[in-house]
This record gives sequence, structure tokens and C-alpha cells, in this order.
Amino acid sequence: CGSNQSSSTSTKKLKAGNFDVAYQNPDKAIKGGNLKVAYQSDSPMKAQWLSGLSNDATFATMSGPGGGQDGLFFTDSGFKFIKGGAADVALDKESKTATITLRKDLKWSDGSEVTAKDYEFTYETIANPAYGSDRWTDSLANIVGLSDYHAGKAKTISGITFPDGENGKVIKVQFKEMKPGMTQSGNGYFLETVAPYQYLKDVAPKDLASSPKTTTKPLVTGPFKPENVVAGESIKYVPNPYYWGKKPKLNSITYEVVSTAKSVAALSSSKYDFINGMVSSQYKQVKNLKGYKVLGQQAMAISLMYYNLGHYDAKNSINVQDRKTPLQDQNVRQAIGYARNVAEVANKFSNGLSTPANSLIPPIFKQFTSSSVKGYEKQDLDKANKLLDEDGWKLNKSTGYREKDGKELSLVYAAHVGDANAETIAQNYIQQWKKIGVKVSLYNGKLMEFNSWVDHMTTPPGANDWDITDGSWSLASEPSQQDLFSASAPYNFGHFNDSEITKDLNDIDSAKSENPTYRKAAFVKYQEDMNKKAYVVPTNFSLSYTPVNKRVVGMTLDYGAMDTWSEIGVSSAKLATK
Amino acid sequence: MWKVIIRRILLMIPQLFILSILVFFFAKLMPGDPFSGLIGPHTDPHEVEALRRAAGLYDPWWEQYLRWLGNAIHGNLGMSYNLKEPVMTVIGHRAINTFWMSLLSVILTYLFAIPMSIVAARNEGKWQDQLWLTYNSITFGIPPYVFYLLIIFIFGYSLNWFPTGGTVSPDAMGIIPVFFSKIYHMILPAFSLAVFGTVGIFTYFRSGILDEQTQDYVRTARAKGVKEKVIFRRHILRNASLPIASNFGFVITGLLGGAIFAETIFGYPGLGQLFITSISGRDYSMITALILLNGFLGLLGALLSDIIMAMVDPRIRIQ
Repeated sequence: CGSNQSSSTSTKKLKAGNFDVAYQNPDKAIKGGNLKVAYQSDSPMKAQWLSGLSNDATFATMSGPGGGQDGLFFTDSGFKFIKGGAADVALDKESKTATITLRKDLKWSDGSEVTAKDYEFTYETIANPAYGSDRWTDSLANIVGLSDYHAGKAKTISGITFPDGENGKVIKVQFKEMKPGMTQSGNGYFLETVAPYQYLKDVAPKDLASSPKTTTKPLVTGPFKPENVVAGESIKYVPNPYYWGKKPKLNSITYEVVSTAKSVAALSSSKYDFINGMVSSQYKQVKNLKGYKVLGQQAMAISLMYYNLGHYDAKNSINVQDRKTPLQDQNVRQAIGYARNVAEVANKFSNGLSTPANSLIPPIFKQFTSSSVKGYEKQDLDKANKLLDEDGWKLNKSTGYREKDGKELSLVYAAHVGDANAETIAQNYIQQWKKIGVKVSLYNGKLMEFNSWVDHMTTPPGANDWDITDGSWSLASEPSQQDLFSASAPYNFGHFNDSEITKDLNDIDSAKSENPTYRKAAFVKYQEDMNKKAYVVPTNFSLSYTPVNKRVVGMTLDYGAMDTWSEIGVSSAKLATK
Repeated sequence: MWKVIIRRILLMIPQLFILSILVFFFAKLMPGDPFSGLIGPHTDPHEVEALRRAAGLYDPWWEQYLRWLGNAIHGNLGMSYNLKEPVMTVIGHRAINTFWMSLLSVILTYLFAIPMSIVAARNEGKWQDQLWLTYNSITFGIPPYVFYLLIIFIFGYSLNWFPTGGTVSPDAMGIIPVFFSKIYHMILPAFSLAVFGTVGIFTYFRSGILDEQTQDYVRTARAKGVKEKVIFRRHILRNASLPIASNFGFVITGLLGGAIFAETIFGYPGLGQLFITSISGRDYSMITALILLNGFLGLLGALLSDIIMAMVDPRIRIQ
């Protein structure tokens, strides 16, 4: 999703863990001012202002002041579409359509009108293979005629029409079927951005991605426009005179890339007003910096533990749960989950930036989850032992490990390289599992190199030489987990296939779930079933943080803040040092 | 001599050919591929599969190699998987950055190292010699990136004298401001490379001077009553610079080699940084092109060095 950001008074008291989500600066903003911000990354940013051709996370953030690659819709903090943005969307169940109405005064930064064709053009850049985009997904095939266009069988997209012409402001998108997730931003069923068709129509498709018109001299719709784009390094923004919304307070914003090795030093010498994308291991150095206030927000991410239960049948696109392993017993899976001391680990290593996860849906999606769902947050060795006893696993006093039918309960843990503490944490879990008599050893006796691990987990049909692994995902703002755990999901590393879970997942995306109360209940049932069956075990939710200089006024990390770049200002010409 | 040079250039073709096979083969052995990074719940695995198939990554490596070779002969080194631009375009942009920064650093290195070596050699065993020997031992012994960080911290962050990253300020618009901003941005990395990169020249040049000082022709000159200054300038320095000259070809081609550590730490987008990001992103086409470029530069450097030697030392002839 690529929406602008903003603050409303009701969200200012928001907390994430111990962090404030918004900075309530007692000082007033001066007129004008130049904001200096940075994104932490060790590779150069790849400027690409068309969302359909862009795949660089660094740039996706850095394009924010220009409108975030020309996002159209406003959302609330739970990512549900609301009215008032550059365009509004209206869904109609009967006719199975979405009607997108662009604002009358919505203009590109050269003063030309944003038209209905500009909305349709983004679909072309994604669906027409000539543009070389990697953003095509099967969810888009739900739009009538789009897969035919994608496959080259049709010259136009029959399901996208313009009731008042190409140069009008209304677009009708015809779906094959409606989905309850369509009310959420990031749902993937329809796109949320525009691209300047008139400006780009003469560029050959294969040259579009490298054309100056999409890289250094773009048109945008946001509160600021890029005045200077230095390839790989930085963007200087100035206010966009044609912006339809709230006029920005600042005179300019410079947005740079800063390397990991330098970001803390840059903050301590007050080089930047804030830095995005800092990692948790840097938090200790950042939390007491003079002149800065650290804001935090729930990350849209989940980490979890997988059990290897089967293989992926690539030919039929289905997970087959057929592996011979003690992990097929629910009791064993639960026991291994209960034996982990995730709370202690989070406490010791995360600097307060991780909390044990009670389910697979992070609390930021409060309309879809409930704190009443109980998972494996607390270590419970007694319960784990009891579960294994019940299941007939007897402790062999001489080895210290459990056995059943003469076979030892011995498992392979495919832990992979991560941050500096990864090995310590993996060894810690192995010790915890030993306490309940489960023998666990690392895959090949060491942590796996990350790329090898990805290959090992994602190459069908999947390997038979591991039992436990850890994974983490960043989540889309539409939290349905079909892509992660459905029977056909290739990223379901453990390859479980359970009719009840499939039913739960389908229920979340069913027509009934168009009723929000019903959908929430369906989500909660799904989370409870997943915890009970323990095919995967949730590990942590995490917080992201952003250090903000004390001269900055109006800064917030609230996902529902839609005018942040217009609202943001500074209280003095120089950065605060105290 | 021209015959020899042409023969040497022709010989480069099979050498580069073998190098390209090795690079191609080993690059494919790395786990992961350019599309591994796309894997996520937001991307459709079938689409990733289709991209891999379209890029020909499932063909046997020799088939991929032959396809690549066919294009390369026509001057097309392919598209970068990750940057979605022609490899040559990307390398071209980065090469300009790397070239100017390297040039500045080479000039500065000689400016530091040569006087340093002369002072040390002329005062053999005295405190001046000890000082510069110790200095060079330290800068040689400690990994240079430690110094780079220190330099950034002192001159960039504490004193605020120089920019700490990038090649040009986003505020600079127009030809002249951009030019000066670029120079300003390369001073700190070039200076750091130079100050901590003197050891090679220092060692060769200092011992060269010391060796030449005891030669017969020096004694003869002294006996003839030639002034010490003249002996040093005309005879000793000239002969002592031969070992440095023998390396000069590599210095010239090295201008495009890219400084991996310095570029990464200073956030200076040159070829060195491009190489690292290409490897971690499994950007095969870029990796292959960069290694070939470096291989070619190495061979060319050796040839240039030989030519330079033949020019400065009348005893040597290329045959």
C-alpha cells in the first residue's frame, strides 16, 4: 500500500509497548524549515517512482513525502479504507465491482490532471510482461479479463472501465467474486496507486524502468515533489504546488541513505531529524541519545517455529502431510512449544523490542485478534512433561531422553544465521527441550547460512532431513494468512494440511466475513485452532522504533496518520542537541 | 615492441575466456538466486518460478553460459536482475564515481608516501626513520576500515568539516555547484585511502633508496666530488623509483578496481560497493561483468607496467 500519512488528535496518546507512537513536542513549529531524514541501508536506494516496477523497500519509504509512489487511499490505523484521500473506493456486492473516484482537484506535480487512465495504467505495468514487473500475483486474476491481458490473449483489460471516459475521474473494476479482505489496504485484489500515463506513454515498455521519467524526473501527487534525485543516495523534496490536500509546513526535506555502521554516530552528532529502518541491536546505543526522543510502533511481522510434517506436491500445488515423525502427534508438538522460554529470551536479548506472541496475528490488527487467545508465551515444563507422558513417551533415566517403542525422541533443528545472538538462542532452546527429555541437535551441527536455508525450505518438494525450524514474515496490511498456511501455500514450510484449518482460513475470506463481527470471530477461531493443533508455534511480536530529534513537531508513527508529511515541522532552524 | 604488445593483447582473449567460465560456474554454486529475495507472502511463488524460468535459471549452467557468451561477444553483458538496468549502464555510472575518487586518492598517496620514504631513508636509523617505520607498521597491521570509521567520526561527525556519505549533496543543483560538491564529498574517503595506504610505496621506495645509496656508481660520483644533493636527485632517486614504476600499470588500471571497504563504509556508490551488493543479491550478470572487468584490468595493468618499465629503464626491452 502506498498511502500518505497523518495525525488526528485521538491517536496521539497511542502506546506501543513502552514507547509513545507520536511525539508531543511542547514547542511550536517555525515557518518553513528544512527537515533532514535518513533511511538506514547498506545498499544504495533504487529510485523507481512507479509502484508496479519498484521492488526496493528503502525507496518505498523514501518516496513517502512525494506520495509514496502515488498511493490513492486513506486508511485508519488498522489499515481499513476510509474516505478523504486522493480517491475513494466504493465496493458493491451485487454487481461485484469496486468504483474508484478520484478527487476532482487531484493533479500531477506538473499541474496536469490525474485521470482514470492513470489508474488503469498501473495494471498495465504489472500485468503486461513487456514491462518486466515482478509484482503480478494470482489475486489480481480475480479482476475480469486481467489474466487474459497478462497472458497476452487480450489487448485491453475488459474488467476495468471508465464510466466518464479515459480522461474522467471514475474507474469501475469488475471482479469475478467479492472478498471480505477488499475493505483493507494491501489486499492485493485491486491496486491502490496511479501512474502518469500521458507523461510515460511514449517510453517503450522495456525502457520504462530505467527511464529518467520514472527514476530522476518523476511526476508525483503527494505534498512534496522531488527537486533533485541523486541515484542511489538521496532525494531533495520541495512542496508540490499542485497538491490537493493540506499545504506542507516545511520548505524542504532531504532524505538520504545512511549505512548501518554510521547511523548511531550520525545521530549523536545531530545530523538527522530521524532515521528509519534502524535494527533492534542498535537500540541500546540509541535509547539515551541527547536531543532525541525514541518513538515506537508495532511491527507488521510475526516470527514462529515450524515443524516438518510432509512435502509439497508442486505438480498439484498442494501440501501433503505424510512424513513419518513423532511430530505428527499433537501432544509432542505442543510439548515442544511449551518447553521454550520465549519470554526469557525476549527479555534478555531484545532490549524490550520483542514480546512473546500469543497468536499468529500481531496486536496491531486489533479488529482481527484478541488478547484472550492463549498460546505458548509462558514456559510450562510440567505441562510439556505431562503431554509427553500421556502420549507414551517414557523417560530413559540412563540417557535422560524419552523413548517410545524403543525409539528415542530425537529431532533436528534447522536454525539459521541471524543476528549476533542467533546461536546462543538456538542452543538455549536445545537446553530447554533437554529438560523435557527431547533430544534436539542443530542441522549439521551448526546454524544454516541464510540463503541455503531459504533454498532448503522453499524448494519443492521440501527436504526430509530437518524437524524444527524458525521463520519470520512481514505481513501485509490485509492479515488473512491463506498465503502462509493454506493447503496449497508453498511457503507453508512444514507442509501441514488440515481440513479444519483450511475451513477456518476459507471462513475468514468467505462472503459471511463481509460482516466485520463475523470476520473477527472467524479470525479468533483460526488463531485458537492453530495454537491447539500447533503445526506452527508463534514466537514473537516485535516493535520497530524511530529516534526523532526534539526539534521535530508533529511526528507520529501511527499507521492511520495520513497527513504526516504536511503536518510535520521543526521548532528551530538547527537540530536539538540536548 | 608493438608486435609484443599486440600479441599480449591477443593472449588476453583466451585468459578472459577461461576466467569467464570459472566465474560463471562458481557464481551458480552460491546458494540462492536473484529471485530468492522476492519470496514472501505478498509475492506469488508461481510468479517467482515464472521469472526464474524466463531468466533461464533452470537451464544447465553451460547452456546459460553459451547464451551469455553469445550476447557478450556482441557487447551486451545483459540486464542486472536486481537493478533492472543494463549492466553496462550501471557499471558506467559507478565507474565514473570510482575513477575520480581513486585518482584523487592515488595522487594523495604518492604525495604522502614519497616524501615520507625520502625522509626515512635519508635519516636511516634515526628518529625520523623510526617514526615513519612505526607509522607504516601500524597502518599496515590494523585493518584500514577501523581507521576509516575513526576518520569519519573525527572529521565528519565531531568536527563537521566534511560530508560523511554519498557522492554529492542533494542540495547541489547546476554544473558548478555539483562539481564542487562532488570534490568535497570525495576528499574524506580519498584522504583516508591515501593516509592509510602508504605502506606499499614506502617500503619499496625506502629500501630502494637505501640499496642505491651503497651502489658503486654513487661511490664513484662522490669520489668525483659531485654534490650530495645532485647525487641524490639525479642518480639515487631515479634508480630507486624503478620498483615503483614497475607497479604503475596496476595503479592506473586499479583506478577502476573499486575500494570495497572504503566505498562501503563511506557510503560512496562506486564499483566496490556495487560488487558487494551484487554478490549478496546474487545478481549473476553483474557479478560476472565486474569480475571480468577486474580480470581484464589486471592483465592490462601487467602489460602497462611492462611498457612503462621499458620506457624508464633503458636496460629493459620488451621482446
